Amino acid sequence: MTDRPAPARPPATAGSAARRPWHVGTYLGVSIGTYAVLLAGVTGTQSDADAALIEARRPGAEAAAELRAAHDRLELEVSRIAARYSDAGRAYERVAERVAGLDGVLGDLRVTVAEVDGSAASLPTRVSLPAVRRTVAAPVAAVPAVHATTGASGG
Amino acid sequence: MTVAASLTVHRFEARALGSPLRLIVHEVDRGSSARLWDEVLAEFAAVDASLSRFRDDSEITRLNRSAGGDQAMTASRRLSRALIAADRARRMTGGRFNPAVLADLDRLGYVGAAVGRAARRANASERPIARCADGIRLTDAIDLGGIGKGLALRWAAARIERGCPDAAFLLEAGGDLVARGRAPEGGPWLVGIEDPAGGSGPVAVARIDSGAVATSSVRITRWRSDGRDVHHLIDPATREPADGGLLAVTVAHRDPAWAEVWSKALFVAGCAGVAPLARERGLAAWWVPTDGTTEMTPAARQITTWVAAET
Repeated sequence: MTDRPAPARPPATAGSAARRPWHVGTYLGVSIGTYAVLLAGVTGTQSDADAALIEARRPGAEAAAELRAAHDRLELEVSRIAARYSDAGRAYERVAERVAGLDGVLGDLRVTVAEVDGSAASLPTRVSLPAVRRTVAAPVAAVPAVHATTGASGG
Repeated sequence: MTVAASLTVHRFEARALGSPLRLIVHEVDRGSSARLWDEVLAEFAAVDASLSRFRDDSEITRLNRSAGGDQAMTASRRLSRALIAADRARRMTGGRFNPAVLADLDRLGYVGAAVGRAARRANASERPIARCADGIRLTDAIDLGGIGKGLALRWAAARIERGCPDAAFLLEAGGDLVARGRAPEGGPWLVGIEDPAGGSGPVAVARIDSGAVATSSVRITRWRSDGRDVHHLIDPATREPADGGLLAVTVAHRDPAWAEVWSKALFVAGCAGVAPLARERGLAAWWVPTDGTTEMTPAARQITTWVAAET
């Protein structure tokens, strides 16, 4: 047998090397695109679901906020009423003290009235007054004592 | 009636410028008060020698003898100050106070030292005192009697204050007076205003803390001339005794000379003019018209402590 030389392999050229990864890039782009479309779809679906959920919960949230505000107002009003009640209590205590003081004064007055009443009962029913003058001279202010007198010169 | 104090009060009395001179002083010892009295006597003696028209040898008499002439005369510091004050008083009172009335007083019989040719009667609006480079020249003979006494009180009070700044005193000269500090009892000095009709008591009593009081009155210095009653308060406008229906005018002022000037000017203003002029000038003034009533300005009312007519 005669060895035949092996056919020479054609030399690799630059154009064949550049064509080789083309389909890889195509596959990769298609995959990424497909994934992006799927992701957008899923995201859109999720967003719609969240919006629906938020919309469904909105009346409840508003009612809760309104209830919280009403509660705050009620708490403030109760505080005010409590302060006024406290003031009224103190005023009442002061009035009560004064009433107690007046009560004591009235007690003393009652005793005094009783004494005057007793003294009046012992007074004579008629008193003879001394005769008085019918005309009274008005008091005359005396000349103040002076240190010097100003007047005509040459005296 | 006079206040009798239990405090150490020193009283002195003499005569000067033809009138009684009295000093009440306290807050000082006996020796100091005697020295102050000597100062007062010295000042009044100096004023008498310089300003008295009754002395033949006084400076003012020598000056009056030159009145109307062309020759200027030199004057001492005391006389110069008196002439300046008199000229200023003439201007401030609108001529109601004018010292150039000596000829009129002589004519009416209130005669002082003879001044010879000074009988010329200058125009009332003419300036009687002229200062020039070589001295003083008078156009008419002048009388510094009233303002001279006020100036003597002013200068004597100043000498007391210089000699003893803490002294409280009342110095009285012929019805005019000046007071400083508090009275011996601790309050203001109480000054009675004489009844010009001759009553025994005052017509009013005024409180004086520190100031002066002067009175122009016809109660004493009056006489008869040519069959008529005349007095020494000459109206420069008429050259006759002022006849405005007033018996006396009293003025309280910070300064005794100005108190004297204004009391005379108000007297000359008469019943019709005394109140407007006194109020316009803000003076504390009392006056007694010929009907014997006592009237006063609001400023006088504020320091009046007693009025006879209201008791």
